[in-house]
Amino acid sequence: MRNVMMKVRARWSATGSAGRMWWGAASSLAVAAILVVGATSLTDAAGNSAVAAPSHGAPTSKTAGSSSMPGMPGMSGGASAGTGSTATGSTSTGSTGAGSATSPVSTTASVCPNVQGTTTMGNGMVMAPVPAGPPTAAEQAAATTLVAQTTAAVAKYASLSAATAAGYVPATNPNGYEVHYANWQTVRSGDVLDPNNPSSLVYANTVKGPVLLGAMYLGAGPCIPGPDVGGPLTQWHAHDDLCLSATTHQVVGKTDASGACATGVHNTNTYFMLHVWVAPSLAATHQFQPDLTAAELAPIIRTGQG
Amino acid sequence: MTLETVQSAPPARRITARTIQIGLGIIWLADGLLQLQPKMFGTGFANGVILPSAQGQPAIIASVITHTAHLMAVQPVLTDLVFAGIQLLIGAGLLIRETVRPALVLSFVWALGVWSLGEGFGGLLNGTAMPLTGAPGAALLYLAIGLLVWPRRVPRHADGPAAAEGPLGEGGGIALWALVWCGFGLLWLMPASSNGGALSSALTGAASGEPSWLAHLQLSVAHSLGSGGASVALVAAGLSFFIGLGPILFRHYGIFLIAGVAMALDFWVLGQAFGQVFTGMATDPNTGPLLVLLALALYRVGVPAGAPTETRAPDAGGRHLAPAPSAF
Repeated sequence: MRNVMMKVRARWSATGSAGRMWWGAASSLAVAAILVVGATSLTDAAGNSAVAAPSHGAPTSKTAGSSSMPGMPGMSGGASAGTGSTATGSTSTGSTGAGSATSPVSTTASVCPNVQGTTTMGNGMVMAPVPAGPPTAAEQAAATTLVAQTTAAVAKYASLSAATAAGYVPATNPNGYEVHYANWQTVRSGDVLDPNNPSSLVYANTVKGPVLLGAMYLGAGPCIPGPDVGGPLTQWHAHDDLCLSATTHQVVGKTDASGACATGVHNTNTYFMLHVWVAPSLAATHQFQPDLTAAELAPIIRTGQG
Repeated sequence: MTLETVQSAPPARRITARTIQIGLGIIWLADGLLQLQPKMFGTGFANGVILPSAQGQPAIIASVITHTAHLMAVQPVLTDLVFAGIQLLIGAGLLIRETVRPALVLSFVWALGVWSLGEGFGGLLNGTAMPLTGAPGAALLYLAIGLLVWPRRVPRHADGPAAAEGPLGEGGGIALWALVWCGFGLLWLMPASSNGGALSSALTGAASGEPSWLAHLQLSVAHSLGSGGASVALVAAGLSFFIGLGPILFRHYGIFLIAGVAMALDFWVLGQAFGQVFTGMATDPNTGPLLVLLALALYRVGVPAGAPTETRAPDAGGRHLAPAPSAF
């Protein structure tokens, strides 16, 4: 030990001023790094414990079932993570969305384990937790504003060619009935819920060509739900069963019963997403619904009228 | 030709290990400065750079990357400052002669961390590795070049390429070069590159967010490739093997280094968009400049005109020292 100390001293005395400054900076940086890691871990742990054990004793990721939004019958409360209620999008017309004919099968998602309080539905949708209780007036107003702003902003993309010119590329099979187009530059920038720059646009391939159905916002990154601007009305969802092309990152299929992909790779770190439907027939009755059924799409495809 | 005549030649300027260390240091400094871009101080760095590398990875690795990104997003400004500081420290350390060793040690640790968490192991585990876009990861090249020019206590082969001064020697350097380029060759044959539309898709994706002149160039090439990228990938694979194995098979291997540099710059412009430095989210200049630096570490230059270029006296071990050709 003494020898080591003597060697260190000898080295130090032989080190020039530039070298000494470097070692000084290295030591300071090491201390700073330790402090940042410590502070970050503590902050994160505190946040997690707050989520896990709320002071009022109520579950944090619960909603009060479906409470329709005044004036917007399609808007309804989000899925409950623990109460067994159906998923989002249940509407006054009887149409159902993510949770249509599906029940929560698990409160532990096979994807994004970092997101606490998710509910995995039978159809592979992973519903993010939303605030408990019916939407407040402020949440309803925020949801309405989001729909209005999105509808106005994406009107310029009514034509698919306008969208592709702006950098939107197919994220699902471009020949399918319902096609998602993503702007990866926006996605990468982590710009969430910006009506002027939605991460994705959804089109239907109809008899009259592509028809804009709506926008789909993505979270700031994989496994990060966006903000619940509309409380239980705007519940984010992810998919735990998608297979992506390793090269194009397009959705090329779904996992089989064993969870494997016949083609592509299983996307285990998926983005959370939120649809805002702008096509009149959907906006009125299916607003924020996570997915569309074939029955809901069929009239649009047949008539070319959104 | 005698040993004496070789020794009597005037001293030549050459690329030394020190030159490569300085070059590496400058690249590390650039990395540190890139980390200080305004966009890096938000959660975009954790969410837009780190998290996507988790996509398609094995569950355990994806979980580690996701949790790391999650932690980074808690204090993005402080985290980014520390990240930038570490890279600037490595760069500065390489520029100061007496701190080269600790700086290289730090760079090895950091590069491995970046390769695993930031680059998702270069896409090797999820089948997305494409040499065109930077696979198997620039971080590995930092490590390889650092090893190549690690300062020995007793320098040797002061008349060879820079790599000859390091612990791996010229032979080790050539082996490393072969490993890198034959690795590229294999990756070009993988479905991620050799599928019909893979190259076209990669170029289209790389053009996103780039300035119009660059995006136009990338999209033009993507358009001309269309779905016929498989044959290009095959040619690229053949070229990569040729570049990698050439220095092992031929005594005068400069031409292979030049070909490697040309191909690396091609990747750098088209597939890597200069490391995406124009997007404001670049973390390093990607593999292009590092492959050039690797070639320079093996490059023999500077023998004055008229100096002997043929066989030299054998060294103590009976091995002929490498000649110093006036050109490749």
